[in-house]
Amino acid sequence: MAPMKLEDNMKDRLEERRIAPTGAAWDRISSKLDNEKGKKKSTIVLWSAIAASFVGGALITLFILNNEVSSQDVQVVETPQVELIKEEVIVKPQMNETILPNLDKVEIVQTDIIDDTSTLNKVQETAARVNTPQKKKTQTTVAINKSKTLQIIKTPSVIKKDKINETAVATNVKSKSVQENIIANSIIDDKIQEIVAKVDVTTVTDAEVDELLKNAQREIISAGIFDQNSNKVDANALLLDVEAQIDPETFKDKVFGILKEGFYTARDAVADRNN
Amino acid sequence: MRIIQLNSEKQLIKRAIKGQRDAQHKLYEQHASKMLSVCRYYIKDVHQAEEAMCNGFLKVFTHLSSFKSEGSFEGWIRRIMVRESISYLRSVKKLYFSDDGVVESNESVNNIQSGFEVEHLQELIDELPEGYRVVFIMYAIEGYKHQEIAKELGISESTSKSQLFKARKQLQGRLKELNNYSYGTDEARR
Repeated sequence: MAPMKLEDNMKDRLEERRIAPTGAAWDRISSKLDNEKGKKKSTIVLWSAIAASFVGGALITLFILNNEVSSQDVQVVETPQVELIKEEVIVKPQMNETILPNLDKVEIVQTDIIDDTSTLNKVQETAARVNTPQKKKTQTTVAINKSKTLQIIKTPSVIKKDKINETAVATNVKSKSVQENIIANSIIDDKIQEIVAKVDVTTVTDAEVDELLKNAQREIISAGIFDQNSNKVDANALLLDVEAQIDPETFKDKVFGILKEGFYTARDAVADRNN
Repeated sequence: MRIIQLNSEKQLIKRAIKGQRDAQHKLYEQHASKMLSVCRYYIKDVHQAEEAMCNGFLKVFTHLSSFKSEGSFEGWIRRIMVRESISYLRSVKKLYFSDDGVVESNESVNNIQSGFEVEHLQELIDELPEGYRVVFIMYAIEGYKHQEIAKELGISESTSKSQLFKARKQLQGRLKELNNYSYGTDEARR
């Protein structure tokens, strides 16, 4: 017999060999294939839930950003530090003091903070931006002339006169912030008096009072927003006004509702996968 | 007239990709006995070889869509079985390659007369250490090149060559012993 090459012989003989597997081999393979199928489905569900959460989060972010952008569209204007406030207010004069000559060009206004009464105290406390901590009589005198300039004067009894024909100027002219406070207080006081005049306090309900106060608050805020002289808008005041109009509870509820739904969807998908 | 063979291999593969269990079973029946023999080259115990074969078929059916019909389907399955057998040997920590770098000769054992039965040949292969056996089978039986063996096993080409040399040396020695034993017996009979 010709010598056979061992390695070639081994290769040929082994290639011809067949070994029959046991009957349980296919059953094992089949069950493993079924398990793989189930895993794939749950994996698909899990990834779908994750993708849905991402999409929901992206939509919410866009929604929030859009709202922020629209609220930032307000033109921001810096109000000057020192400025003469221009306003015309007509009230009945009640103070006895030296009055400037040329009264046809000057109007004197005096406001008093009203002493406490049982019904009006409530109105004062609930009015927005009412700053009346001290319940004592003070006297504020506002001198105005028809050339549309105004200065706030804290009254001593003597008023010096410089430019008689044009402007009434007095000593003790305060800084702008104090002037603003005094003006704001005067406006608030006027509003209170208007409301009181409109309302019959013996019959009005609390809801009506709140409603009137809300309207008064809005008007006060609006008055502070737009400066007619410079035709500029105070950004902060406008923002406050807009926020007062939007019902914050509804907006927040919407956002949290969407987040809650996305969370529950993802949680249920993960729970199903584990089952 | 064109006869459509419903059970042709391509049709079976298409249906198996879709997950039809009967098509998968038919493919399994066509190739299982051969693939178990392939796994048996590497793994001494036939039950463990069957386990490796089952894992191999699981991978075949789960990755069947990646078969591109570029070569034979049997060759594709066989490569998966070889990898699965090697993976099993690694998992039981039996695969070890000593590399002393000495390769004196890579002379084939083809010049040795052999009339052994296949069972005896398998026994000779089983006597080899796992590292020698795997490289010898991949080179001499499966037809892998040293570069491919090195890549598959994560060793260098020189290590692959030295493992092959040592496997052949051991086989030569063993065959000489067996040949001497049979010659001696024949002589004794005379």
